Amino acid sequence: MTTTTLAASDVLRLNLGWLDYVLVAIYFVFVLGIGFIARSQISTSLDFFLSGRRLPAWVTGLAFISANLGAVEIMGMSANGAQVGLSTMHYYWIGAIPAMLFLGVVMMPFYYGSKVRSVPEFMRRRFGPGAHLVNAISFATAQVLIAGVNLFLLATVINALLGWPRWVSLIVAAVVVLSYITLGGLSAAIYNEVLQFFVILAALIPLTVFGLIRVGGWNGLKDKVIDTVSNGKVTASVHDQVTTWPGQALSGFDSPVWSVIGIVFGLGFVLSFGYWTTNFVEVQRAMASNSMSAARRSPIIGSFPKMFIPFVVIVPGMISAAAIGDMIRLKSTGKGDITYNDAMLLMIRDILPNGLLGVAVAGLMASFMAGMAANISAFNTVFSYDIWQDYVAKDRPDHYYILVGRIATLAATVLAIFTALIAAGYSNLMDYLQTLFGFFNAPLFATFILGMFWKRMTSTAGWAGLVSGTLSAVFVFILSKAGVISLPGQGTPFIAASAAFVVDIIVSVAVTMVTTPKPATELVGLVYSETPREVFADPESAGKAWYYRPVPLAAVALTLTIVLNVVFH
Amino acid sequence: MRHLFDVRNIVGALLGIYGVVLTIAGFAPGLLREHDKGAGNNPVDLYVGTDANWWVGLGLIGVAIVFIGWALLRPVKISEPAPPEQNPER
Repeated sequence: MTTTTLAASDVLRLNLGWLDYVLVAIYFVFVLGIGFIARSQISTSLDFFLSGRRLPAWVTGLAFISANLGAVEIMGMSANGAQVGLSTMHYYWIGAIPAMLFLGVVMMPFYYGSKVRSVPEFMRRRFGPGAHLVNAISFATAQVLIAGVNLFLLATVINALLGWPRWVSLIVAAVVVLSYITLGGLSAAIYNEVLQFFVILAALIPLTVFGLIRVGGWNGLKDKVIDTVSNGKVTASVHDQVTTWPGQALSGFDSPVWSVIGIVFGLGFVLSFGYWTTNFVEVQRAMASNSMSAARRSPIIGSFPKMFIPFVVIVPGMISAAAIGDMIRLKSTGKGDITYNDAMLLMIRDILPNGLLGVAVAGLMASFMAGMAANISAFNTVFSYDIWQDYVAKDRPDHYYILVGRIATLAATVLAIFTALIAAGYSNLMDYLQTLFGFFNAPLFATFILGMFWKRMTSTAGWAGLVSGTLSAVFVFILSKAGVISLPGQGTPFIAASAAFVVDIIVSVAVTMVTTPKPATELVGLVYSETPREVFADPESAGKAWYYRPVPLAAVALTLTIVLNVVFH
Repeated sequence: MRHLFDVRNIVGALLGIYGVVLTIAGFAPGLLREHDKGAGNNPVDLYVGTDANWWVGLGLIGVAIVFIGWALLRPVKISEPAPPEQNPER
């Protein structure tokens, strides 16, 4: 994801009054209250880890995107908006929506139909312990690390905005998240994600609308956009910033043709499919749905807000770069007291009156905490079901695993605090580790899609493909760090992910040819050709209106995305 | 309890409270602190003013009414507790 460096001085300090603190306090009461009430719904481990699979599609759909709408994302994407402008939309329209729709239409029937309780568990049933361990351990470690980075950024932002010492906000946020997850499990996390979604929108929508009014509407904004300069060179011209295609400023490629290819295949295919279709943080939300139809519809329902969120994230970034003095200086000289990551915070400071400031601060804290809670709730499920139950303590009574989950939550929070403390000292190290864990995502999609549709693919091929795919991504990354290959902008991650994808497929196919496949009886529910159609069937969708059925709903979402691309090309 | 614990009621309650507080703050700006002029070197004055509080406040009250109304009109059906995981039917 994005690294967040902020202005050092107190440029960002907000002048909060008592009323703003009241609004923030009310939010905390709700967050903890949800934890306490959600506790009453927990009687089995499935209740704790997967909300008993009984949530309606709109709740899991909103949680699906909300788990990803952390403050890191909001600040990073508004920074991109300030720096490269409208082509940042590709992270949403190309880099998220197609993969979310694919997850709902094609892959969710396997996840939900096979009754697995986590993405790594699907790995185990399809490929056995080798691939399972690679996936479960890399995922669990990455979650703790990302939770820690989230916590560190929360402390940094609160320190810049309110002047609280870092350790205070770090401990408060960690304790709040810990309490509501240990009490209410995934339900508490999901309900808080839904709540966070509305609070952050209650701050971002007014911010965007008022900002646009002040700069003279959309046309006024377009007139005020200036060239982005860095090291004396124009990196994004005005024209680049008010159009989405071909997006050279985003991809870093000089040729428009390669830029389009890079965005569509690199960002839109290998990077985003790897992330959205196999990342358990997201998939867990859909798995908590109350039926096959709801599970399939949850990423599809989530795609609708996902299409429009960039308007209230990227546009404020663009407004800040057109109307805020410090940001204009940074943009036109490449130097200044602030960084692009401050874009959203500067907008909050300059536009909102007290009152709305409180809503914005509550929304930011909420999205940091929800981001961290999403990582922790995915971690405790994978740790308890996939690591503890499979390899350490099998066949214990069900309530034993709830206890394991609660202890895992506590341990993850403590580890996250330590990670945050390390991140404070060695931020570069954290960047590298995060990039590294990104590489574990890249080949997963290749392994999953081969495994779901090719019954011959063997267990050995499963882990061999994953490991070699990950290693090839790491190899590309090392080559680029060593200066052997040099690619501008987003070039390196695109190439690394593509290499991982291709190598994974080649190795999986090659290894399959020389190893013995699993018997067909063990593949029921896991491989398309071996699964009776009734397993994927979705009887409650039949005869319902189009918006209750996954495929027509996905078609509408796809059409809308294409329309948006055409309108804002 | 289960009925109250409908996420629509929770969202409605929080947005409703925020709406009321913001509306009051909008009509009684004396409650608020003076706005900081920010860095002061902005070519466009972005500050929207305290009236924005009640504009947004009334909007939030509207959204809260929609959520609570939705929960009242379409209450959740109270279902049987989920069967245990080992049950092959699930």
